Amino acid sequence: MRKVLAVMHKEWLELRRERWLVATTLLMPVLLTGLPFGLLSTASASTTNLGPIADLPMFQGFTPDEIVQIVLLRQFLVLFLLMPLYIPSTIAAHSIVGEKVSRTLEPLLAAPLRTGEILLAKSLIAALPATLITWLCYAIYSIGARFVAISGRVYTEVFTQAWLLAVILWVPALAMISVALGVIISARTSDPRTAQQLTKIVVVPLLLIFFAQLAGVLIIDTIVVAGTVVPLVLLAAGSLVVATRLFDRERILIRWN
Amino acid sequence: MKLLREIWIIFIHSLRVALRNPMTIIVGLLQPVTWLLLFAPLLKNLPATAAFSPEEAINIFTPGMLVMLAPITSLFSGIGLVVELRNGVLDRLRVTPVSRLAVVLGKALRDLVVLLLQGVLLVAVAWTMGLRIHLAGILVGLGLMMIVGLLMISCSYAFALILRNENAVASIANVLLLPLLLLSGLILPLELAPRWMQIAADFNPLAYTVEAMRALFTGRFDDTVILNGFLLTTALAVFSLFWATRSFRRALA
Amino acid sequence: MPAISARGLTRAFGERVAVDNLTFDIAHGEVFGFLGPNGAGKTTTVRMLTGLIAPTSGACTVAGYELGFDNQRIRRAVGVLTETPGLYDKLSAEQNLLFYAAIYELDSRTAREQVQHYLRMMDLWDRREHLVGTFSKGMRQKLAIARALLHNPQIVFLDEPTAGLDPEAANVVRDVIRSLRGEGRTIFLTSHNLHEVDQLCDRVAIFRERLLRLDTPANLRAGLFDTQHLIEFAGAAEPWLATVRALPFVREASVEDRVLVISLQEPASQKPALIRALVEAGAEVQNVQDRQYSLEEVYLQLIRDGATAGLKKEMS
Repeated sequence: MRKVLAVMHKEWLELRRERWLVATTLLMPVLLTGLPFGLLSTASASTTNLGPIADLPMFQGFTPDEIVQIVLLRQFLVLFLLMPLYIPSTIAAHSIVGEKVSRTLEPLLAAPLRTGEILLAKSLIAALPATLITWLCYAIYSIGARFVAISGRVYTEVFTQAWLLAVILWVPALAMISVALGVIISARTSDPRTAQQLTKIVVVPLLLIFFAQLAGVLIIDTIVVAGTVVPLVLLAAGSLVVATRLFDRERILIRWN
Repeated sequence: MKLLREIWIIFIHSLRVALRNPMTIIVGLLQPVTWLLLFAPLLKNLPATAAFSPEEAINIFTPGMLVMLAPITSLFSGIGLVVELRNGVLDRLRVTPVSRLAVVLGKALRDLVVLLLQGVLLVAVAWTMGLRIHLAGILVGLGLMMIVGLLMISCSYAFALILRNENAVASIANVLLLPLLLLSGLILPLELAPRWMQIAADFNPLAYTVEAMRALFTGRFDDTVILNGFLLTTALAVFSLFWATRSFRRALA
Repeated sequence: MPAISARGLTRAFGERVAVDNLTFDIAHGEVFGFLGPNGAGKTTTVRMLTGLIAPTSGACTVAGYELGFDNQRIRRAVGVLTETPGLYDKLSAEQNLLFYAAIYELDSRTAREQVQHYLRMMDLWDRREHLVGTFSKGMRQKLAIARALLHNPQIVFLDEPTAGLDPEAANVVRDVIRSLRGEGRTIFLTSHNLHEVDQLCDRVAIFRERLLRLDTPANLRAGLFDTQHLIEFAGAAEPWLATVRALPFVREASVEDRVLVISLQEPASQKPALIRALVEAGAEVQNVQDRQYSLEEVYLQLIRDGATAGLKKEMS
């Protein structure tokens, strides 16, 4: 474990010097958290046409203005699932290929470090900040939404315990899945650009949730969260194991000289 | 002409370098197809909103996808340049009399060829999924996509040459990509958004390109949005090309 | 038990054999030179011996551990200077070393002491807080050597430690190697610099895909060529060529640059007879000396032979 911490510390020292990376990593969540507030301040039934969505049975008993708020507030919740996927992808994509390109990987591989230790450290250093930032942004969003919501029942309709549970449990798992995928791509490619480009694919499955929720096909309740947490955590752990298995020390060295 | 010959030489050289890693190109080519295949079931199950019917979806979606393909792949182009800059590959150009514009265009041309192949592949897959084809419109549309590509590549090169750090280029690409995607109507149906957000979307230059592309796909050649889209995109591309070339001159000075 | 013991170590990349059937033993405390041209398979050999890549066939023990079974222990027991320094540009010199000290599990006090010790030894102590990105090539190489030594490994692999350095930096690096040798460490030194290997190493392996020769530098020089005697005269040398050729024990004689060059069958006993014969014939001998072959000539000869042998093998 000490070695994992040592690698994390080294990664941290390096990341601190990446001013642009730090700035954009912080800017993105600010934008994503700010966007809904800007939108909600002007959104009402007279300016927003929800079409058939407003007629979904789950909205019975709400006023048209309330329905618009519920739909928008709820849609933006999905952004908090986007963050743990998107934010760490740049760091993850850079993790191995960066050391390949700067030729620092060989001494690291020659040191008494197991592949799992290297990958765990590199994954954690990408996933941890993303998780913390997302949690913080969610806290800001859920508190801020109290002031924007036109009625108490809009708030309780959107900010359910299920969503709180989802953010607490899903976010770290999603971050680890995104990172493990990024690390796999990073280890298998010799071109930093390809790595960055390919890791963006992690956001695609999220759009499934986005549209499914919009269509009323998917309602995220406690049962859904409870039922998916274990598979997600297993998927996260499994991706890391797969990343370790796919990490071919020899191939990485030989392809790079 | 000398410039054209130099562009060709740089293009062939960078293509040869890229072909040493064919997997990279193949995976890159398949990327937009993967997006489309992941999206398709989504679009099928979309409830009939005010905006469009599920049958319409592929026709609305494909032109937008084609426009977004350019930034998704091209905004990261500069990263390769950072690596070349550090390995001293570009230093060798310093001593040659090759025009800096030729270097930018030659390198961009390689990425544009890959982009074109991606676009063709995307349209082909979309066609099997029910896309209505207007051949002339699509050919012109692919040309429009390449102009967007040139715009994105030039910007990415300029970032790369100024910042000389692949993480910085990747970070900027990410930050630009997210609002471009969110505000292009591709991910968030803009019809759901209030005036406020629609105005914000109007500032997204690619929104005009998407409109022009949709008009082209349906063969509405007399629609003024096509001309507007072309003019705006081309103007931006020329400007960014100028910026990239200037950055090149400075980097190699 | 030797520090390193290789038996038939072979590595192929697809069809191409990079290292072929390498067998040798290196004693504890020995400085072992591994000499070969670029692309001869030196780095591949170092990578195999340090457990970075697996041999296609053959076996090897390093520091008493079996390669392929105890790689983690081998990595802990050896220090490696890889072909490229591989330092983190965005970290300071000190941070680079402290990171590796932690990976080798030195406790934090020992780590700080070792880092200070080696930074001073490499004359980098004053620059310890500077980013490695600002360092010259020589400084990087010294820092990378310090990194390889932090955990006091008994076996040190140095892959081309002076390649690409300016003469002054190269000298500092050689001094470091000499002092390591004084500490009784086993050193595996690859190089294509003959002079360096000649100066530093106890034994030298000349290598090009296969082991061409393995011996002490002195034996390598003596073993390959006959000793040649160079005789200078007051006047021209040509007239005396016939005289010496007539002698039964002279194997070869020629004139190079007004100097008579002679090979004898048994140099030690026949040299006085040769000189006597010349003097009796009326020659005014001014100077007699033995030609010393440089290791370079030995090396070039071996590499050429090796190449021809390889070519023959391929053709057959």
